[in-house]
Amino acid sequence: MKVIQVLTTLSFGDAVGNDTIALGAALREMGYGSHIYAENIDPRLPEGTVHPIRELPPLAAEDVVLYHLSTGTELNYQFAEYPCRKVVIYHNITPPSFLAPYAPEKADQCQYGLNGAKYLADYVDYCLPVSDFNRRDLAAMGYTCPMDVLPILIPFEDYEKEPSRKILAKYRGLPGANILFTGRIVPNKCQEDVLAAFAAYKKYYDPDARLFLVGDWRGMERYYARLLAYQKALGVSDVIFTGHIPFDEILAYYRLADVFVCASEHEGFCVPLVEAMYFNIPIIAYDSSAIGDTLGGSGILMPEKTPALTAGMIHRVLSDAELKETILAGQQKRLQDFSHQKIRARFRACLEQFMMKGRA
Amino acid sequence: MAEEKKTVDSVEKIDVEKIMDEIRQEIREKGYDASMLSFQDVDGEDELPLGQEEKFRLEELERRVQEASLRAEVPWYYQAEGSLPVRLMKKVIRKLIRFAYVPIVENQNRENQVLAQSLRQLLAYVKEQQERVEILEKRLEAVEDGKQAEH
Repeated sequence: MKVIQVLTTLSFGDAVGNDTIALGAALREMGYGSHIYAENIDPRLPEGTVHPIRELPPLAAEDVVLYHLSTGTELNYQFAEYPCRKVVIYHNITPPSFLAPYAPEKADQCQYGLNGAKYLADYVDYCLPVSDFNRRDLAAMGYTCPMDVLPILIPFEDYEKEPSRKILAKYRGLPGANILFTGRIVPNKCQEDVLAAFAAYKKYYDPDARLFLVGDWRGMERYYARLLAYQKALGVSDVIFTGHIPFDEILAYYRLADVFVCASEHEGFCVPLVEAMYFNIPIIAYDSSAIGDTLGGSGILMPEKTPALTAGMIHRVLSDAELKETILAGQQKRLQDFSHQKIRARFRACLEQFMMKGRA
Repeated sequence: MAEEKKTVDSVEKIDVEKIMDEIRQEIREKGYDASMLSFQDVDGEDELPLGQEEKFRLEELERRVQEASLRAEVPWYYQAEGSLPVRLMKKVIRKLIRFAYVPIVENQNRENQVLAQSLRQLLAYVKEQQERVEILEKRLEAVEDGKQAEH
């Protein structure tokens, strides 16, 4: 019996890619080997990590394919025809309405992905959504098979690597708070709301503060341009859009940050929240999609995100030592739920139970 | 499998609503202007040229060439979508016109393979040139260091 992972694109360093590789290691430990097949393979990945989908071996009824569903692709439909037991690991797909004003072709791809996800509802035997929000999404799409939430496996050991000395030297010791949000520059992550809150914070509380928006804007040039225009119209300075940067520079920004602010309106999991927990940075986040699931009661989860309120919350967190300590203690406790040991044990238990029962 | 409820019950809970009420009070008392220019009132067309600035990144080129190679083959078969009668009709139409479009798809695939091969060659050339430039830069550094030592 084979257990194989399949996905459309295995990228280097993104959440889906890291999760796939880590699950592969867990499967190797369980004695199944780590067999990953993808349509698109990032050339930076070590050779042998993943094989092209055209090399997928013939599948038998007792084989299990774990399919990472996160975007629009013909593979979503082809997966339905696989003659084996089918498990979907659902990372979620951005609602097209967020992307349509800026990148209609990407919006179309997302719609294609959602159509494909709905199509799979009657063909899949088991689902492992990465958050309870994703589980509810699948249920709304008509999935009736058994489902268990399996959070993303995060490579915490990578965060111990040396941060960029250049970035640390540039900003360490400067007056003013460092506010951070990490995530691709995309409309569903609402960087404009972080910008507005920062403008209010700088005006009323800390004129020396700076905002690091760490994330790649390629593919979303129109949205990025609008953010730049918004920054100019607000008249706010000390906003650093890093763009695509090397990993050591991302580490440096985490080490510099005093507070992590997330205003996202759609996330399937939001790995940066766990990263902020790891780097012991207090989190202020807007309550939407999977944000509350990932925070699990930790951090500050705000039901609204008006600029003045968010700015006031940033000031409160940074000036009230007792509150900050309470937030950090809660986050450290929550962080333990994402340990490799726990998630791998859960994955093993889920998979073994599925293997025994199959589809109900 | 029973869902694990993830909470931080044993850590002091934070009354976020209470803190937000206190902040609202502070905003009122200090006369902070809670309004702000809306993102909806801004368009970014003037900033677009800045937004589109792109620098050469070898890993980006490698990835795109890899993608072009893997995507070179366009399948002629796509899953028919829709209700059962619609799917059946689409399948019949697909069978009827197959004689016309399959040769076009196969020709296009041959073209794509040639282009993908050309891109792989260009990538190999860029890498070779980069290596040559690095070697020449090192030699130049050594020459300049030697001249400085003489002086």
